[in-house]
Amino acid sequence: MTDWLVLVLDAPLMSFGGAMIDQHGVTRGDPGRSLLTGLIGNALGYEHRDAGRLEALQHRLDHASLHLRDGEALVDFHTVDLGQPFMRSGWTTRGAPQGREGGSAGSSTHIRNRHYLAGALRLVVLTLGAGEGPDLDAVETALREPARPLFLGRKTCLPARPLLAGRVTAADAVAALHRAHALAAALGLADFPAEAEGLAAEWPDDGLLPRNARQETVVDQRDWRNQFHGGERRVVAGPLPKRGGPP
Amino acid sequence: MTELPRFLQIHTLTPYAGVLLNRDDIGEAKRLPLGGSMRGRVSSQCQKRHWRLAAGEWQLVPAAERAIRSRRTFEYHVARPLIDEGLDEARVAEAIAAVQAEVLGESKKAAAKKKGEETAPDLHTSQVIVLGPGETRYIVGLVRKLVADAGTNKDFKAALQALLKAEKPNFASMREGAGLDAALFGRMITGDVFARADAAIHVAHAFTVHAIESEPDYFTAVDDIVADSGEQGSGHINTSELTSGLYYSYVVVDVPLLVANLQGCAAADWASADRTLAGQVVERLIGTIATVSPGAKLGSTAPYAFADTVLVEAGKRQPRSLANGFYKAIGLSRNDLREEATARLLDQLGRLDAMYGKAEDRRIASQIPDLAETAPAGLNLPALAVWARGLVDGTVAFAPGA
Repeated sequence: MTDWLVLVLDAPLMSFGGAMIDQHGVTRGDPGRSLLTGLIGNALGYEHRDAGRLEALQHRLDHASLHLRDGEALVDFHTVDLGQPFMRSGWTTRGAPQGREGGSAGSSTHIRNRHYLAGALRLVVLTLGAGEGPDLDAVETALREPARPLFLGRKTCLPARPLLAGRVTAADAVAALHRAHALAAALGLADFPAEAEGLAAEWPDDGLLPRNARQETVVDQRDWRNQFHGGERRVVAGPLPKRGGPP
Repeated sequence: MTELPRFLQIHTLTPYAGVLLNRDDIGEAKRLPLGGSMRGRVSSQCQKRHWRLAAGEWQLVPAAERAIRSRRTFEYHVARPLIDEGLDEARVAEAIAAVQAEVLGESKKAAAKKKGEETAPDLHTSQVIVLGPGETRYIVGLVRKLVADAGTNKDFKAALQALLKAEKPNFASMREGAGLDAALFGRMITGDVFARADAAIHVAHAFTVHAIESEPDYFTAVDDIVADSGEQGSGHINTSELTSGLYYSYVVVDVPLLVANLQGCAAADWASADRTLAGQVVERLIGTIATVSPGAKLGSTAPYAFADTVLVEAGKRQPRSLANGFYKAIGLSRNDLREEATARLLDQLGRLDAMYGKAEDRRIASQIPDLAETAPAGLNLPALAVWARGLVDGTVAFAPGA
């Protein structure tokens, strides 16, 4: 049996960063491993230069998520005026500034479409495998009184309730989601379906593929040293099966 | 030492009538679907831009500041750590004086000018130069290597000149990006995370507490010259959207990071750092949030409104908004919508307290009379802002859960 922390992700706007395509910063339906690593890293007070500690944390992390409320897609039209003096170039630790040269990139308006989930509600169970670094107790404490404000994907996505809902014990991620749902219902968090079975969910691929579910490959791990995403991970997405539920 | 709050949470409710605060790419008001109804929305970025640029009573850049404090940054957070490491004091001082002049943009020409006439303000230093922890860490590294490596005095001087020459464009960029702006709102121009300034304030998208009220505004621009000649019709016909709404806005101040970004110290050392400027910034920020409009179409809609209610919470626990108090939209048929919005805000506060316990210290300023029982002590806006400043600089006692 494993201990899992239960997190409620609740905010009018959330974003679970997918692969950025051109000017589209899309969102996935479920939070990825890098988002949770960054969230916990923020709570523990890690900094950008603590890449090693973030890598280690991401490597030990295991999680699954459940849709209590699906939410709706929202695309925010976002512009940046690149002509502002401080936007022209930035200093770097490499000893030479980096500028924006060529074409209209130096002075024009930069357009981004930022995708969000509006009015969504997610339940997340997470645990940490063996290894160096904080244990689950330390993470629990840090989430309650974090070193920095916590956010759900982007700094504009500020949680509408304390993220930490409690702790459950379960043999696997699917069972943990069932117990987390029961916990959330007991706490009276919000209006959501009374049955966990059948709600949309995503959990690590454990080799068992229930009916109506599909295997997916997600790229949701960050190379924290070099600042890009990589590393495929196999997950199962679909309606939460009864398997492993409370007796 | 007394306890300090790590986070300030600023909640506001502000009503606007007949405006177009924030548009999307087709010119319509930005929207947010929430709890089964469509709301008006003002993006985080839009709010921040107007707060940054606002001039007036609460404007964010305090005129009296400027480079004076940056010199202190060099002394406290660059020179002292190196001297404490046992490096040659005279060489450290010489190197830092030279680097400081370069970073702050005090060229030899300007220094020579100072003797005679009054110095004209350097265009590039018209804003407060604020060196954050990323900047000081980098400069400490440069000077440490320079002083440790150089052998003879001659070698040292040559190496220093070479360093200044090589770093000149980099230091110029550092100066350009080193405003109060970066300390508050962050800076991420390059892909270099070590040079990044993380925003010390987090701003949620503001949204209406009720379903959006919208009206297509048909307008014509009459060409007076053509009209005088007896021609009928207009020079331009168009439609724009006007909306009315009572917006809930939510901001979190990361106090340790704000102090670090302003003082150049490590965030971990915020409690022992000078927090005077951070306190002033917080005071002005609260005033700005409550009084500065994020609106466009200034000439045709005069979108100027002050907040009905401003609630400030100070605490150490994970910040969370009161957005769920408005998850279900307030009915538009209510003629006490403003009163109801403030009541809902306080009701949501009460619900969170009931479930998680109370751990914040709170004050409220509100135009709405007869606040619910959960209302924290009432103040006016200037007093509320001064209270928050005192919590940051340590002159007001922090009483969590009181």
